[in-house]
Amino acid sequence: MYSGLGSIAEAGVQYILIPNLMLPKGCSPERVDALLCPTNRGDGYASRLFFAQRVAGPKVLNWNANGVRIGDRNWHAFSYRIGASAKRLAQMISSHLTALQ
Amino acid sequence: MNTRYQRQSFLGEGSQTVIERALIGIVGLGGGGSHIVQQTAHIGFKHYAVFDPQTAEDTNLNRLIGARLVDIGREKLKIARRIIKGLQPDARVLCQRVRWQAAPDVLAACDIVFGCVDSFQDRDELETFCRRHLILYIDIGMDIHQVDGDPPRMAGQVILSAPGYPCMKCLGFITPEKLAREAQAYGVAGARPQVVWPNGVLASSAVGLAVAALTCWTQNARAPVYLCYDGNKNLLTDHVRLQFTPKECQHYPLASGGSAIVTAL
Amino acid sequence: MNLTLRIPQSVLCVARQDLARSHPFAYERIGFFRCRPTVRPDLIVITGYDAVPDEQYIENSGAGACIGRMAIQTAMQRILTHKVGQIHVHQHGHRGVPSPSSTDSANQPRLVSSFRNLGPQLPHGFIILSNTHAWGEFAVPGRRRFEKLRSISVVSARLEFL
Repeated sequence: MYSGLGSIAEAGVQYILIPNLMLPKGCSPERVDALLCPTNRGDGYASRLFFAQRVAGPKVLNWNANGVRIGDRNWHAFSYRIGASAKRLAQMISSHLTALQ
Repeated sequence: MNTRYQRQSFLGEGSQTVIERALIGIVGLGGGGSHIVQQTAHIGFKHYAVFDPQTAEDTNLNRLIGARLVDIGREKLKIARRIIKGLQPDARVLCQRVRWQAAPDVLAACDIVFGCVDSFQDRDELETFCRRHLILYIDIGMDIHQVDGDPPRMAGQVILSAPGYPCMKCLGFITPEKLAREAQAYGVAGARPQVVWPNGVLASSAVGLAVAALTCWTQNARAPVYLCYDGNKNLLTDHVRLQFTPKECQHYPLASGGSAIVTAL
Repeated sequence: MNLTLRIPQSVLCVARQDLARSHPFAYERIGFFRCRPTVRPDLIVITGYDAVPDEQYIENSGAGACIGRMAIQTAMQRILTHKVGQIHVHQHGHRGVPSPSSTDSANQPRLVSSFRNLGPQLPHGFIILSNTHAWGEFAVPGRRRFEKLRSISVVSARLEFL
């Protein structure tokens, strides 16, 4: 489903790097590098999906993390909370992406 | 020795050489950072990397050191550069009119970084970067809280975060609760109360820590340093949390320095 | 390129203590610093130190110290396992800038080149420490020629330039 995955550790927090993640229809760009934090990294979100650039989509989103530096790159994220039922990484990623649909 | 620095010869033989050799980064050139710019220029620092994308506004003039009435609308970088060059004409000043995240290679070259930023998120990122690159990080900040019925409470901090030693998370200064509250309040912060004199107290202490780290004139270099400022009582004291801080950093092991390692899954 | 190395003082202390120990037959000791690249090609950070066990030295009257294949293989394994560069290090017990012997100049570049072949995205090098200074050369990712070390910053609660 996702290829080229990698993990990065920073300040005791694990992140999953998802290169070239395909985004839902209607998004621009269509693909983007993404970084999933599957745990609460201390910013109040139980999990968070970061993007290498801000994504334009059908909905207006609150991009409240802009140019956040994690693991030698700058990342962006919108404010979105997913349900507790999404436990597997693939579920988390697709749950976060529903905000872009 | 250049007679200009005669009065600081107590810093030790060779002190001026190490001061002139060091590259210092100053992130944020507002109320705190502008004090640091001024003092480090007086002391004789010659290599600077300064970061601030903003221009001076009317509401900055109550505390922006070196700013004049005609500077309203001028880049804070230019004001900083003017202060430095006025005292050190041969200084090298790398002006970055961006957030530091847009010029990380410039920040990485610094030997000491002063963080004069507003948010815990910014501090957290700066410290993480400095830990990866084995850079001494000195953080300052102040705030004024209005409590109903009571006089405003003025507080601040000066923190020296050195690689291998407890970090701002170990010290309990950066916490998940503070980061979460900040993330929730994004875009709603508004203008925070700020005045010149507490910035001066904090910035002066920060500069003193940097000079001590470079020259070892006190022969008692210590880390971490966590000074807590009570502006109502005019007190700057060791934070009580230092007593309960682990000896080594729990968040940034020395083995994890350098660029992040991406492990294939 | 003005190549700078940053090293935690605690790691340097461990290294110096190890390198100063006597060996049953070698006149000098050898060790390996672990290192990582950074966002700047001219800045390398040291993240650890590995001693070479006594039994991995080889008797060689033509050199102050000589390590065997096992020591080198172990260093190479660290490159693969921990994704760290390897810096061959030994120490001269005098003040002032040290300089490589003819044996150093002949052998070290070959060793570092082997490291580079195994981990081309990582910096590798060899340095000689004295009591007050250091000398070194590095294979830096993206650069064909070896780069000379210009300065070392020793970082702790204070900052010291070697």
